[in-house]
Amino acid sequence: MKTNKLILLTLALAWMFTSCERVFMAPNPGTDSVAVFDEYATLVKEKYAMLEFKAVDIDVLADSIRATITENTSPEELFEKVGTITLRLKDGHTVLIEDQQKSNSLFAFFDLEAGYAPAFDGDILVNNYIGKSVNRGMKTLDGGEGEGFRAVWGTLTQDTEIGYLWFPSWDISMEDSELETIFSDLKDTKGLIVDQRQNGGGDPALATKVAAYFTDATISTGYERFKTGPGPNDFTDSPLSLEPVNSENRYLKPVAVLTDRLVYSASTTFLYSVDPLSQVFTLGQRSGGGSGSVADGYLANGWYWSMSTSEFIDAKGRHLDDGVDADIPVALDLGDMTQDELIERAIQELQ
Amino acid sequence: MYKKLWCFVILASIGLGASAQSQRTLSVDLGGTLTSFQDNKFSQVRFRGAGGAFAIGYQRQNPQALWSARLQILAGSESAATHDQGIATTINPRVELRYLRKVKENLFLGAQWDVMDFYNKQFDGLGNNSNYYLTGSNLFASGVYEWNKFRFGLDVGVLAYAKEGTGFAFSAPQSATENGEFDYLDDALINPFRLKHGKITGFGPNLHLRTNIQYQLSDRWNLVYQWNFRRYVQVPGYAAYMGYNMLNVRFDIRDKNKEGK
Repeated sequence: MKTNKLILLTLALAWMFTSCERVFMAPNPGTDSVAVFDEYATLVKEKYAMLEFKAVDIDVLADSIRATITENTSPEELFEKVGTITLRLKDGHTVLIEDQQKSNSLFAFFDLEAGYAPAFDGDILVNNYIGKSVNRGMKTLDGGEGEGFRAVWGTLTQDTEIGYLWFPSWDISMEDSELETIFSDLKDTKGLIVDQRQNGGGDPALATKVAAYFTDATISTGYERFKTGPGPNDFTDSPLSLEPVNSENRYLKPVAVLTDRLVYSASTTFLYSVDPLSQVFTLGQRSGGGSGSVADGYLANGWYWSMSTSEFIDAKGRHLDDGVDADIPVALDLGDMTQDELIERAIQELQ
Repeated sequence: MYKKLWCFVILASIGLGASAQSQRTLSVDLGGTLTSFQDNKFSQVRFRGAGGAFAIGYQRQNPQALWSARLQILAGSESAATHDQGIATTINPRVELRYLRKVKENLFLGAQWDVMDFYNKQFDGLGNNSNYYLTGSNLFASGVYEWNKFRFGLDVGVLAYAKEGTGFAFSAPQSATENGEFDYLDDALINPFRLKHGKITGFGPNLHLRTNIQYQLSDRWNLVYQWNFRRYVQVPGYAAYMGYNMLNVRFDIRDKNKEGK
């Protein structure tokens, strides 16, 4: 057979089979304004796990917004209309971004700190409690975000029998040996402050590993409810429990966990893991929540979305996504830079 | 003792029969692909792209049977049909074994087994959903028809053990969330090579087709076209599709004819 006929036959076959793929595959979604809006509304309706808890009737909400979209709706106006759904969910994990590559991109996200006073000040913390100039005994693990630390721990000069442990973020890697070093250093204290403030989350597995140091028995911590199908009642529960770490350095003495509004996501994992433990209490501000697992993707026009596709319900039956009030509410007084009221109250409670 | 003797005679006969008039071929393929992907669980947007292909294979054929072993590796990138975000990079190594028996002149029928088929995709700019994988082992009903210098092949998937990295709502196998087995400390949720959370699926939820057309250009050179298409459904109505058209040049490194040895 001549070469050109062979090439033509191969190309014809390639085209034919490529066409067969198109027959099987769903057609590309539209990118006009109504199509993009409906795509997002459908994603929320089918995948968002907390419509009932957040008291959002997505059909009513979507219908009311869709009625305002016309062929003259600009991309910015469309973003605002789609973002109305995002903001209505009041969920820090649910975000809409026009273009992640653009510095001035449009974005819609729920502000966790809106309406709350700060409960953390880095200068107060460093200048009075953990800075090298005031506390030479404090140890750190380098390698956090930017040039930050992965962990800070030691005893407080205000009471050398009280330990202090701060994980600024769970979005880190940590070896089991490093955790062992930390808890070995703290095991002889009579009480421990675990500072979770400003920790916006990261690896829930790591948060659970740390929580495992605070128990010597397996405890039920609640269940994660996943969206497993498109229907409004398509959920399945995965019960979770906290297994004690296999270590001589478990810490079973009183623990005060400091919280603020940015205690979110994997930090909530830590909170619900230790909440059932009688020797652990929380102190500070209502936590931010963010109990769900997050899925993300792109709409047909390239807008980035993320949303919670599960929620966690703790051992007390509480929905955690909107946060939980601290056992002992304490506010930070930014007018007094010589002390951190949350740490001082924790020291008192741990006596 | 007589049983062992008969076994030896039978096996020796098969060996002798196999070596009589058998053709053994070691081949290397190099070529390119046109690929497509769609995961309706998260988006209907189709991804299209291109990549490279490499394979090394061994085939043994006699008048009664044909068997082969092959390692194939595909790699490439795809972009979305409707936007310029989230370029997807794909790697797809596969190890396959095949055994066919001659049923009539020029027609061989049998089975092909993908011992390991690992399809892995990485999307730019995404977080938890940045990685998609479909890994496992596949069994096909397989046939080959020879005509002049052409060899036409068709494989139809009949059974698969598969583990898909995304479920309906999260980057974890659907079976894990459906069965209430989700646990962040479970490495098997994110490790595609752990068998846990995989499923056995048959024809229907796992529609897997392959066609092959090989044309012998010369004594050692061949042109090979392959179309591979897979539709995998864990949640009814939300299938994942992946496919490629591949065109390779195949070179036979060693081609021995053994007659009456």
